[in-house]
Amino acid sequence: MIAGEIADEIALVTERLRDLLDDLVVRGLRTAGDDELRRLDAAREELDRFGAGHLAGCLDDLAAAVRAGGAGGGDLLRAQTSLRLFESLLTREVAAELLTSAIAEADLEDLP
Amino acid sequence: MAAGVEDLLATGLTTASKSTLDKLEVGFRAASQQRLLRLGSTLRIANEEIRRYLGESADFSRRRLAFFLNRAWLLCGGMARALQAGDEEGWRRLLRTPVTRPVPPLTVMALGVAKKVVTGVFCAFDFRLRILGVADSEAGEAEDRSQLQPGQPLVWSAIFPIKNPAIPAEAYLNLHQPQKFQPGLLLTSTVRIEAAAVSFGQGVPRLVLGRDSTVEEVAAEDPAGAAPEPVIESWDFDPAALHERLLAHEPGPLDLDVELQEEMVVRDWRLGKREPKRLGERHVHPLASGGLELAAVVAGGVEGEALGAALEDLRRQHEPPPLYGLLHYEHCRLVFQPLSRLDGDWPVHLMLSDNKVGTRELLRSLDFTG
Repeated sequence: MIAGEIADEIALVTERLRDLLDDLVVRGLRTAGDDELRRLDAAREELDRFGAGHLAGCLDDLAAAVRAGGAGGGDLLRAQTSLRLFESLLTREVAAELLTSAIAEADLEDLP
Repeated sequence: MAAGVEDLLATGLTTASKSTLDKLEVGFRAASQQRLLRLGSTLRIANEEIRRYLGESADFSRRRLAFFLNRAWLLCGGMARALQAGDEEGWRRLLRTPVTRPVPPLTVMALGVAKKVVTGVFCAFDFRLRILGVADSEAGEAEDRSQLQPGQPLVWSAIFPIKNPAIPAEAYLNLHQPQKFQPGLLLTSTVRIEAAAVSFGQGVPRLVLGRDSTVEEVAAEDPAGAAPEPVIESWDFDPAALHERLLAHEPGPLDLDVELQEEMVVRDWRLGKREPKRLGERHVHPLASGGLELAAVVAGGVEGEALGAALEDLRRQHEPPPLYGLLHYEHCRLVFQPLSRLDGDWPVHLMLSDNKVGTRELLRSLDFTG
């Protein structure tokens, strides 16, 4: 069961990560420094804990590109894509659980 | 083009070279000329957002820019790979060009209207229609008939460039379309539509009006203008059906948040106070109905004023009327966009304000000389 507190916790992490990635799109990867690396590492650890291995791996690649001072545009775009898919899959999971609860409640109400 | 997007992300917008921006502009024009409409529209929106940033516009959205740049990169990369591999199916899937075909005369009514306003740029109205009748006719393909039955949905959109921001968006519904009707007619009447076409693709089919299409009011006493009640009753909330469609849907990286969108009617609902945190740019009210908590959303700014006021009034009612609207799934929530209330002879469209601006006043305010 993922709905509830765990979903809220994951949603908070992904929202912060999305804000960070959006910020990097506007400012450019070459402006990224220690603060951005710290936030990327923190997000990667949390997402690893939640089992989001692919997204965590993309963040590793992005952080490596930032540290190398290279272009990294492709790494940023891959991280965005992975984040988006992760959020969509998580939302589908949570929404399905919420609908299942509503179905169960409706069935109980139908009982004589 | 994909490389251009990657370069832009490396340097950022503040130091983006003119040549990078020109590349995006050229890409948009080329995509449009080649009828790669999905890519073209994506590049157009990304360009518009970049110009808003460079113009220090208050309407600039980082989120929108990031989304559409990413989408452009995915489409370009995917299309390049499909071309290199000779993958026709992949190419078609990426283009996602809808198929537009003529249809028999249709009788429709509007259950709800979604309004979108980009200040100083454009306003758009999505009319959420319901088919009440389909004439026997030679027009139309047999394969479309299953989607053109009474009770099935259609969407028709009207988009207007905003010439005078002081004029409320609803006023543009008084402007005559090339087919010699005012879109506002759909707010109050059942209409019969002839010589039209429908685009079939993802989601709800879209009504397309051509030069020869006609849109005429069906008289109240005409049996063809069937009472909406049977249609409305058929749209009661069915969590089992929603659950089945949700699990059958496979999210993809090019999906919009509203990719899987459902029409629904909520009854016996309770609306809570506005939540402190927004969902993107939208205000959120918790709405409890049918054992679920939905996130009822209201756009910020002028776009959401009418709906926000209407919901505040309804929130205080002891037995609020059924609401018709659109449901989608976003950020682990069931997001509900209320569009109309269904407690009288006709839907009352909640996103539209009562500001009355006549056609003459509207035309005077539009500067056709400049």
